[in-house]
Amino acid sequence: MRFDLPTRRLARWTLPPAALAAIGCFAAREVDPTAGAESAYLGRLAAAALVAVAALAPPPAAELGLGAALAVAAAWALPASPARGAAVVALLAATLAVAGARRLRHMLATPRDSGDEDGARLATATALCFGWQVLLRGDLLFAPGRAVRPWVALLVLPLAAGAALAVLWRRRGALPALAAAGAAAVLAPGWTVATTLALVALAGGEALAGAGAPGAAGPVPAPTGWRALRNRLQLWDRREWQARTRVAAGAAALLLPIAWEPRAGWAAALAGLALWRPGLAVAAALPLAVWTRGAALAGWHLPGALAAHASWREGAAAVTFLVMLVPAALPAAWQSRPRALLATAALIAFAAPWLPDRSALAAPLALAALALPAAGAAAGLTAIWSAAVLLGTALLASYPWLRPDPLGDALSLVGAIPGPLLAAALGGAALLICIAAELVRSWPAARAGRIAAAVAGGALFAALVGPQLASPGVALLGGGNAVLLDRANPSWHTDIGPLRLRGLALQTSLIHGTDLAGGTPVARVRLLGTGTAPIELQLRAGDDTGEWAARRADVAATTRLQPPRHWQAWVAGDFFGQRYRARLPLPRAGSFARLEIDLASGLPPDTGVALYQVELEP
Amino acid sequence: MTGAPLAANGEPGPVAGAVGAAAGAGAVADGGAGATGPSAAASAAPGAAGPRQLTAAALPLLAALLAAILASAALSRFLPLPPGDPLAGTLTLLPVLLAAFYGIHRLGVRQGGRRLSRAGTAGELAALGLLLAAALARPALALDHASELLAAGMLLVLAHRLARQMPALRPLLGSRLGPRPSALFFWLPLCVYIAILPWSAAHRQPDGDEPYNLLLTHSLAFDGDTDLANNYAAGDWRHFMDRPIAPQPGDPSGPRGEVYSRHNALLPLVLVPAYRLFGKTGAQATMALLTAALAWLTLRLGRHYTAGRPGESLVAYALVAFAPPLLFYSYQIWVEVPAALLAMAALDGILALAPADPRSSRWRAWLAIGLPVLLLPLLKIRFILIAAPLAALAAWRTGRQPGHRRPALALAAVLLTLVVAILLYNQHLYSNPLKIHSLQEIDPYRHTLLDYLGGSLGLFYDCAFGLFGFAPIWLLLLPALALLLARRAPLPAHLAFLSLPYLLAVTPRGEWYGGWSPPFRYALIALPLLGLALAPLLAGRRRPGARALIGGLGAATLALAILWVVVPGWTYNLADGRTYVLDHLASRLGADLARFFPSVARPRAATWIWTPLSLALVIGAWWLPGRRRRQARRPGGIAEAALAGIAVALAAAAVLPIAAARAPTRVIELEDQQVIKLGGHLYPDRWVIERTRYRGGWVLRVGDQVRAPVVAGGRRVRLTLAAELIRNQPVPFAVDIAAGERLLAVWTPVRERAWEELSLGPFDWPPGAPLVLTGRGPHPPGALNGAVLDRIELTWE
Repeated sequence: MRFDLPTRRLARWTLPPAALAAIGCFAAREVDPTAGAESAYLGRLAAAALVAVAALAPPPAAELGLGAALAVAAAWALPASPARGAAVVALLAATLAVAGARRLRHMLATPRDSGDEDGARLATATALCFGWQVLLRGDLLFAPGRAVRPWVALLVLPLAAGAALAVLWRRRGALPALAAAGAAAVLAPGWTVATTLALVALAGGEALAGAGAPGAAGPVPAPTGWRALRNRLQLWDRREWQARTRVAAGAAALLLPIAWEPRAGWAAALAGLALWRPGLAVAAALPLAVWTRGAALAGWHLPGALAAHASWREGAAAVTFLVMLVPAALPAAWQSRPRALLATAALIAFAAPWLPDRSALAAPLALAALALPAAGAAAGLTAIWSAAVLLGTALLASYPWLRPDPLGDALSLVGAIPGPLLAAALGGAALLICIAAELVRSWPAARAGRIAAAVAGGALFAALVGPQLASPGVALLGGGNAVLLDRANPSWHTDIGPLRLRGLALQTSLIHGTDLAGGTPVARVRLLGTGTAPIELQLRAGDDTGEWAARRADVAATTRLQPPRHWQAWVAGDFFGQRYRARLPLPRAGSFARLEIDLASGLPPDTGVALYQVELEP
Repeated sequence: MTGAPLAANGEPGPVAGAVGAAAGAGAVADGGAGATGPSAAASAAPGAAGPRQLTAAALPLLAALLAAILASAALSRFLPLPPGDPLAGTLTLLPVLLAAFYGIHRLGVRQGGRRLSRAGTAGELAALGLLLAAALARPALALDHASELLAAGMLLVLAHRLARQMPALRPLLGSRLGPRPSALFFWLPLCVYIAILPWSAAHRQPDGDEPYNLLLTHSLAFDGDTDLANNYAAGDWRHFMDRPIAPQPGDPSGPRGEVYSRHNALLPLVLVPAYRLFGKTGAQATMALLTAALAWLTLRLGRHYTAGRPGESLVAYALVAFAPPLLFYSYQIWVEVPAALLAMAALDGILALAPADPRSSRWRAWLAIGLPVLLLPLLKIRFILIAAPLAALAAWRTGRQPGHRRPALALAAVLLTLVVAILLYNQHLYSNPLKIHSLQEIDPYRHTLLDYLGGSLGLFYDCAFGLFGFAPIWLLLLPALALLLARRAPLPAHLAFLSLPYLLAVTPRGEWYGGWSPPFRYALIALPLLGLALAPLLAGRRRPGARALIGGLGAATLALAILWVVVPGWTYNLADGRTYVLDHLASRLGADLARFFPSVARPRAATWIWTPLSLALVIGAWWLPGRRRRQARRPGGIAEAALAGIAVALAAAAVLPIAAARAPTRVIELEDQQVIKLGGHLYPDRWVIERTRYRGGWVLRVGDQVRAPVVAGGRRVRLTLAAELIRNQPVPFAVDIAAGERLLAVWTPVRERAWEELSLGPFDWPPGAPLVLTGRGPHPPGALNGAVLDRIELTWE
């Protein structure tokens, strides 16, 4: 096997520690301890991501060198703030994406013998899974300390997922396997025990299927001469032993999820089984689906813990997620070959209880991706869509966003809240694209057609995503210029000129607001018009804003106020501070000339509101 | 050295040998047997096209460009950005730039260049799309410096495109550099310069000489004269900047109140047409055109020095065109770029002269030499010192050749007449033939050797104004020049002959760094030749040490170049021994970082250590003996050396904060950034002309305090304080000197406006304590008493 082992290419492995040293030494000497804490975190994040890049990047690995240099430059040159984190994370994500893409191209372009190829696949898969984990669960690196769990999550789970991915890759091809791993990884997000075991179970099913296939244990060399008979017998023994081991390992892998979580692990086991015996899996999944979801629909009471998680809507949402994450499944279902697997995947997804959360869907969703063909329009569509979802989720899951539901936020960028409507739109679009691709294939100018289709698809995507991202608002505060409303300075106002507005968006957080009840007004927002009556809006705790230190352990343990979903986070020493964004639509559009924001009366004396940004939406 | 060998290729090798000294540059210039110009390359390359095919190919490209212009116009109208958005110009220009890069690629392929990978292009477009989306989402993202970060991202995409496009154009150069490189080598840098122009112009007001050149352009464009009195009165500076400007010291005035500029009108005249049409942007775009022409000319000039090394010449060209400093001068209105263009055009013509030229082409050749030589003094009077050596070089090379003697003599005579005329004109208008300068400035008896050495070193090593600090990749010049000298190549001789008289005039000046300007201003004229000097060295770029150097220095240059483009104001450093970058880092670390970097404006140990150290390190590393063959055999082995170089650079960066925190403090410059000031102000004022003549310091008044971080280098210390009393009130004034909270001494100055060196101590120094100076005394109404504190030297025991 030949892949980028540390002993073979030492220089590249010196870059991650060098970057860590450069950022770490700077962090250790920074005057501002908060800035130092952020720098140290970014140093760890950069070093970890660069390890994945070092393992991935084929020569000359320019992305590794430049990524390391630019990450250090950003950490040194930019002032400590979420913006610095966003820059470093975006840089690392881009570096990892470039290294991964180049590695895949390199592997496709360089034919190797099977042993080398297995090693290269294992190395690539492991490095990719580790890199995804660093981006998707970067908070693990914030303060890993001496606890075992963060290190297991950071190192062991990606390794296991990588090994499973390598097995799937070998049997199913690069695109379906990577799409399957991507679909599993974005659900939690990152490699949790549930998602890792889902991939392991699928790999187990593949191993069982491989063990039964002819020539599964590798090519048989033809011995010659007088030792031929003895060699043949030895090889037979070895092959037999390998096949038995593979069956045992596959079976164990199938059973692992059940051992870990019996109430939900069966879904992963069934998904794995589907790769080996699709009919058996369907036979098992169908009654389960009917039993769990049908009972819920009919209002029957199921026994035990299963009842708490059995609901019709959960099942429908699972199928929705399947279509949203693997939209090419719909066009692929028209083909007879993948249809059985796709149906099984849909059934299992429908039946699977969300235990511990929706990451229980990892196995059926990955199964659906694995069912896709390895080439053609559906495969291309899957590759592009999976990469886009993975990148979007990774960026929103990492610092400074640290969103609790990065997948949902990423999908909403398309223009609709994740749900049946979005699933129907995505599935329909995938269907249309694949049909168009089939039609174009017979054209004389197929290439021009493909380019036109790509441009049209890109334009459609941009038209969908653009309005979600583009903020028509006018930002009133310069970046980093927060306004604090407290008892000493309870008011802030600014002239906005006569400006026609439809709404406002406020980025705020509460200080000492943990004892407030949800819905308590914390600030009054007034817009004074020119010729129109003033408009007054309320900023409410729990709905529109929350405590800035809500993540701090002591605050989280005692807080009364449940914060809304945060918008952005920042390193506040040894925890992440949070800010929240609230959109306040005006009851009526009008022309306004002055904005006033006052701290609400009746708040506890030390409670304040920090204003980070005020956006005016014309 | 004789005439013909001067033009010969300075490098050994089969190609140089084949051409030989006898063939010289003339054969190459004529497109003779030795030359493989682009047409030859194009005809040899598969897929190459003739002119008709090229025209046919150009039509769709023109249509695409037209569509892109329409798209840009639509964007400028409908882009949902608030007025004055810093990214608006760049985003508006994006369709045109995309079309231009697409066109360059297509034309390159038509002319025999390589195709770019579709995956790479798709990646670039995807990255650009993401950046565009983020640019539109800035209000919601509410990130500090979001525009700057996005600009840096777009710059990275641009750099990626360049890194792919340059090697793809390599086949266009053929096996030997010809006299007419493809026009794509002009269009490519022009596109890059235009790409950075909107951002840079929006983030930096014209500065230094620029606004005066622009005001003169404005006057020529709209008044048709050079009298600026009405323009100053009407505030015409508002057309290109927000800050008012007034006549400069030394600007001449006429009998009826006319105000003229001390700057020559030649460059403003060139800018007039574009300025008349598009204002400041038009003038800056014209400068970009001139800079792109200089880049193209650099490649053309390579035929005289590195003709047999087109690949290496292309790398050298890329460094000149796309690395600092030329990248930053591309949109700025300084005379140095047009001067370099004229000088290189003349040099190219001189080196291309051949004895066998027929009479008609001979005169044309001399016109091509004479015109730029004569325009140089009209651009700026100091360029006489470039024009004269050029004329001398032309005469020297052709003096013995029949048919060339008369044109050479004629050029010398015309140049002399022109110089005399300029001097007389200046005497008439300024009452001084040298305008605001004097002969004493270039009188060698008035300068010490240290003045010359300081200026010369500073142009390359000064952390604020030197070439190496601006773009570390240029440190490769050290082994490159060593190699050329060892080979007795003609390039160093030409470089010295052309630039030494000029440099001898500018380096001993107090403002050797060019005054208020970006780095390397005065020596910019030599940059093309310096770039070409790298080409022979780059032939050995596959050595492990060479790769490591290129990797480490290249990564540092890329990071710095992005920083300079994104924050263009940071290239305008003050001559106080520091830079904006070092100040920024010093304030974050609370430590003095500048002391580790060389400065001629504020000489210190590092100034003298860096020169020999860099010579030894860079030259030693380049020729580092390594297992070259083994490295080369292993796939990616050479590339690994480049990564090792980057790792070493990062490790060196890691050492810097540690060194700043551990290396004992020996000198405290009290105006420095890491010194915490509670009151007081800078002395002299930041914008004082020739500020380096003053002892810069911090004014400490009654009640003010400064706290300087000190890294103890022993248990006891002696302090030497350099300070000057400013007495505004007839009351006592004292400065308390303390180590943290512990008072060490009280300085009660007596002599007014006289610098005193006060020695104090030795004192016990508590580790970690800062040095605290507090102004103390009565404070009656009115201006307070105070002292200018220059520096404190600490001698540890």
